[in-house]
Amino acid sequence: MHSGSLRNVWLNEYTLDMKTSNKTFTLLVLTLLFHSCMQREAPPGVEYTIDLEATVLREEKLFLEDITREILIVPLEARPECMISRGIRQIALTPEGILVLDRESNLFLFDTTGNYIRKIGNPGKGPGEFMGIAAFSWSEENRLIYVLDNRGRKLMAFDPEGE
Amino acid sequence: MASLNQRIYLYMPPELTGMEADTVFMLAEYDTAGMLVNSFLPAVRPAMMPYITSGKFWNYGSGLRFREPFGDTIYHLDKTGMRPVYLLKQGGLRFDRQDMLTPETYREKRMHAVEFTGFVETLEYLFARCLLRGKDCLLAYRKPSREGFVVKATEPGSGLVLSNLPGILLRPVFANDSLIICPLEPEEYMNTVYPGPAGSSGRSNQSGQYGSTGQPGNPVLALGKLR
Repeated sequence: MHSGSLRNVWLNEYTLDMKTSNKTFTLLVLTLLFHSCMQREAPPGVEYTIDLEATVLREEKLFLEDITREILIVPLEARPECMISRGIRQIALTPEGILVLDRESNLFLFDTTGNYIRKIGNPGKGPGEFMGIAAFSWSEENRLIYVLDNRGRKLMAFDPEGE
Repeated sequence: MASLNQRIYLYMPPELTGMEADTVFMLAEYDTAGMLVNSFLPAVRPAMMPYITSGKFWNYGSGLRFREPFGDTIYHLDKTGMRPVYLLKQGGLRFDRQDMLTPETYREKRMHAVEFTGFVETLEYLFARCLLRGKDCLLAYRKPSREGFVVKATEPGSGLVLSNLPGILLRPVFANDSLIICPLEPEEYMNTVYPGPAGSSGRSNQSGQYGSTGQPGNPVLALGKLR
């Protein structure tokens, strides 16, 4: 009787252990499933995951001085031949100066103090002309400005002299 | 993999593709899940013109980065190919292609969503210009600490500020390893630097900071040399 009670205690403990183990195992499986589901959201190799809903709830001041060691204020020269229309769409830095694309497909080159140097390319349908600039890119290696003419369906290359 | 339903053309400098200058387009095809299935191809077939905007396609290091249109992923492109770098978990702030189909859906959705207009990236930060629930906003993601936040200005609004010109909101349009450039509209700059009824007419007597042109009308650039 005594040994039977003892066995029952052991059985109960064993059963309890089994129940605990089952719960632990179930929890582990669920955790792994959840983790794998979460991981499936991110393509392999993603370095950073940004939670936008959490991001927009957090506000922080950031002065330009916080991330820079020196700030230069550069007014871009304003002459009739280099007036920027409807704001700046894109900027790139080249060894010759600052390329500025406005919203009317004008691409200007200014030096780093803001003095106007030249306009890159001209609108038109002829050779070397573009119908509109969707975007441009400065190639450091080739020292060329690549201009994507969206409407003219072509990609053009200019040197910094505008040729 | 689901069937292809979208394709876009991008472009990149030829040194990144090893192709000739007239064949440097890149064809990117997407399946219904928005996954990229192939990448570089010469653009011998002008089947569809590229839809790219500069702000969604930017230089970083030796490569280029772009956000999958309306998608969650920001990719890095270089000579070795393409790889995902950022995942934007948009949740309820998602702005989809379908939301632009009619003016009504666009107006309705933009009041609840984030609509990205451009990205700029430094070694430390990813900045995203956007419309957040219909209002201009600058989001920042600090890479070392993996923290994202709305860049709150001193005055109402969102943007970087200069400590001596807290009323001007700066939204960067260019950055590289060493420099960040933010344009300022001339009126905004002049009214802040030279406030008062004289307005911009007062600047001719104080032309030191504004420069030697003496002409109003073109934007002013704030060039910051990064730490």
